[in-house]
Amino acid sequence: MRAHLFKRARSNKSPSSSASGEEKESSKSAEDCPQLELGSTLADKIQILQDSLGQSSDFICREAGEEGTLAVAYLLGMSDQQLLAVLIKETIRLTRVQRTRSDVLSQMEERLPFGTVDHPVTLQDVQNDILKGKVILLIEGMNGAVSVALQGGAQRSVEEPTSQTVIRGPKEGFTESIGTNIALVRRKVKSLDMRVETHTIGRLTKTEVATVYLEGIAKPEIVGEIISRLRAIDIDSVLESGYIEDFLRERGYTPFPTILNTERPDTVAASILEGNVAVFVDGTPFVLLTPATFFQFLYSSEDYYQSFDISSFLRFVRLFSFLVATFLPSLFIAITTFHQEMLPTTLLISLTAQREGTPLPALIEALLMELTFEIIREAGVRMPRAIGPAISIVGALVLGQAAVQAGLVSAAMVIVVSFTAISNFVIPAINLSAAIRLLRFVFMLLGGTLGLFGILAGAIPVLVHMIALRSFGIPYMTPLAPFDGSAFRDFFVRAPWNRMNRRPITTAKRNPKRQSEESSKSDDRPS
Amino acid sequence: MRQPRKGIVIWAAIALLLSGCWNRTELNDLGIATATGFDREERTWAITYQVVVPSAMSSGAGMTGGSSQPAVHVYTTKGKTVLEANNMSNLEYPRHLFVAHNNTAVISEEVARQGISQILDVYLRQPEARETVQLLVTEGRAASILRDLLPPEKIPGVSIADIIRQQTRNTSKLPEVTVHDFALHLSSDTHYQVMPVIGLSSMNETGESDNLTTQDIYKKTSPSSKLKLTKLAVFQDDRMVRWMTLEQAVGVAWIKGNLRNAVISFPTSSQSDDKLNDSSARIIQASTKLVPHKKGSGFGVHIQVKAKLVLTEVTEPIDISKMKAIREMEKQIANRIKRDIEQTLGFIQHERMDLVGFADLIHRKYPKDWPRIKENWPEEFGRMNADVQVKTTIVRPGLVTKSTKSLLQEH
Repeated sequence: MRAHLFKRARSNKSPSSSASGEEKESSKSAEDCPQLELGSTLADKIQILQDSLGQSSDFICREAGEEGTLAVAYLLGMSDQQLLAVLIKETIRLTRVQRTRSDVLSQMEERLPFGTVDHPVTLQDVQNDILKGKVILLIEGMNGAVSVALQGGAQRSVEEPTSQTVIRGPKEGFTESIGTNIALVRRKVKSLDMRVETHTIGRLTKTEVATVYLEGIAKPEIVGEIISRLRAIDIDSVLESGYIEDFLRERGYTPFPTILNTERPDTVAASILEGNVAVFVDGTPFVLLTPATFFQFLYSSEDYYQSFDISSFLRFVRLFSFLVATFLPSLFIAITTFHQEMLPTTLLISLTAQREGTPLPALIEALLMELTFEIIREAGVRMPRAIGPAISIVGALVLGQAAVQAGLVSAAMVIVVSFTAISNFVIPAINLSAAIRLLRFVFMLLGGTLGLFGILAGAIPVLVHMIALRSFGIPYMTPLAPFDGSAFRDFFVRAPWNRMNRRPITTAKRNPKRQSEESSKSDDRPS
Repeated sequence: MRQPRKGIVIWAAIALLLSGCWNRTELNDLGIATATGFDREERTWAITYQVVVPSAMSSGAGMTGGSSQPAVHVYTTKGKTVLEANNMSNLEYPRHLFVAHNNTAVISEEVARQGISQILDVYLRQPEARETVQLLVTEGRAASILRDLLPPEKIPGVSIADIIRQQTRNTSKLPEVTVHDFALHLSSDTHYQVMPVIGLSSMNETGESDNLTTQDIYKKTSPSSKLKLTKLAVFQDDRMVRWMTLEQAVGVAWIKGNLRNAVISFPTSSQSDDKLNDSSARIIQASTKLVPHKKGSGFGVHIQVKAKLVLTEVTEPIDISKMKAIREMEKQIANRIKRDIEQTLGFIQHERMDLVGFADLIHRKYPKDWPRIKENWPEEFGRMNADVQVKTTIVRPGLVTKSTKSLLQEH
């Protein structure tokens, strides 16, 4: 990998903005576009800009004001049209009053109550600002240009998240706009310690990627590691946080996700409060949370809103469902084809009666049913909403009931596959449930060829792998391995909030105190 | 470093998969044996297997109601040894004979009198066969017992085992003898052991009996004959020596402390001799303590029985709210229990059959004396002096305090 050039593009005069904090350009693009000065006359400037964008029809660059003193340049649809109108009106007035052009910039900063005002000098800076959706003002007689951050245009409003729903808890979800997303978290964590660092990744897409964490709680090593991994990325495009996720992961293959993703601001807020780092990517509502341990994939944000007893119970339900979703079909195959003596007599007779006349071996039958279910599931995700009920009917009636009645598959197998499928949906993290779906097939093959011995021969390496796995230096199976008793207040059992007075040691060791002593001694309160 | 490690993983994976599915058996390739019968024909074993016909079980998918086929299929194979006979099954039955779910083993009287150690050896040695199989003796041929259905239950082999388990839990008059129990007994000092006997009992006065081997029997509400646990077979070591009636055996359960939940009928008071007016009580807790002691050159045993009971029937018009009446009844129950125990003890001591395990008791308490008396233990057992103490407590009178008869008299 070649060393990358980092260039500070922050203007001295402009107030520091999060949106243009650090900018990374690959050395290649720097070679292609030598540092071009804008022309000196307004007409030259317009000509050079339009040529550099290849006369694109969505690039608007037109003169305004009197006798060619002022020109406005922006990309259609990327800036707020109403503010643009105000800006133009104001600028025209300014240029008319202010005959000395050098004062225009400072005057505009005073007069305009919105958007950061920048003063890009080189052609490249101007181009970058245009691509970001800023409005460029070209003023006759002034060196360089004035760029005003008026990014806007059509975007989705804040809606209820579709992938992670809760009954109790905030209903707002992230949108595709990174600014909105960071603001949603900022609204929840009104702390001076919340740090937002923006990077631009993607040679062509120039996607904004922001790391968000709490200074004083998050481990600086982890923050530093994430930022250095982000800086090392050299890719032409970043269209979703999944692109970034693959670069942030540790080396080596693992089927298990080591980075959480969420579209819920409250989950992000809770996570950074525990010392984790959130990575926002512009253009997607899915925010990455790192480091993540295995058991966090089984938690839902609702666990912390409901009363602790039901939350703890639900965590056990989820852990059980995880085991069911991973092992049930393989156990069923192994026991019915290798270890029939393990079943109670009546159950064995009943299962045998169901299997009477089914043509396929149990392993093939299970693989076919699982595959069928995966197809139905995939169809359910991809098909247009309107066909939904039709697929359900075909899936449930035709494939389930009819297959059993025709004697092609045994009823017990349908029950096992359905229960497995439903258990899979209980797992809150989609990426973990995806990992299980793959592992399930491996275990089914092992169970079908070697019985319980095979399942064990598969489960032990998987467990070893999970224990060896790290997410940014944090062992994946924390707090079970390495054992950490202090974390058990938020583990299988979620302790009442007045008992959870410490943050997790693994990520927030620097500042573990969550509550004052008085607050956690709620038992002393007169009742 | 990386390449060789990958190699090991791949070779290990291949080695795992090489064994393939060598002992895989699909459920529909299994013939599940639920009962096995042991008969002798001259010098060969005739082993009868009762296997389940899964398609006849109505739980089968897509089938409605029962089928016209009986739920079990019975066939007999012959061979010089038990396993040879088992192997011959492959010549006539298309499925793998699966004996891990064998619930009952029925042994014919002939085989039992010749000794059953060979059968025990098969069950203990083979990994698939289980030691939890219930052992039963039958008077005739075991094959004929296995052919009989047990309405209204579908699978007789399972039902017979269920009957034994059920009665152990609720009356415990007959002992539950599994292969494991019997093997334990063979290694103990007690040389005698009992085993339940199953037989076909006629319920019809005219003596005619239904054919229990066809599906038609399910159409009758009351078949004129039925499979039943009728009596006990007494084994000396691995050979059966004699029969014993249920009445003779009831004391054995008391002495061994096995009695749970059994109902005892007793005369309500010492005055009432009328058998019709017996009352009854159910045991809720019973314990027996056996204390051996030495008496000169002979031995004796204190038998202390403690029982807690609940009144279940009271026929005499007595006032239960009075402690005196309760005490009286407790005494009557104690007498009844004592009589049962003494009756059984008298019988088995007369027959010199140590069914109650006094030999182990003496051996444990007086290990030095044991070698001396070991040789002529039966005589020693016959001479033993046993005194019985019974303490009974009625803990609850039931829902009503007065007897129903006393209610009638008040009007």
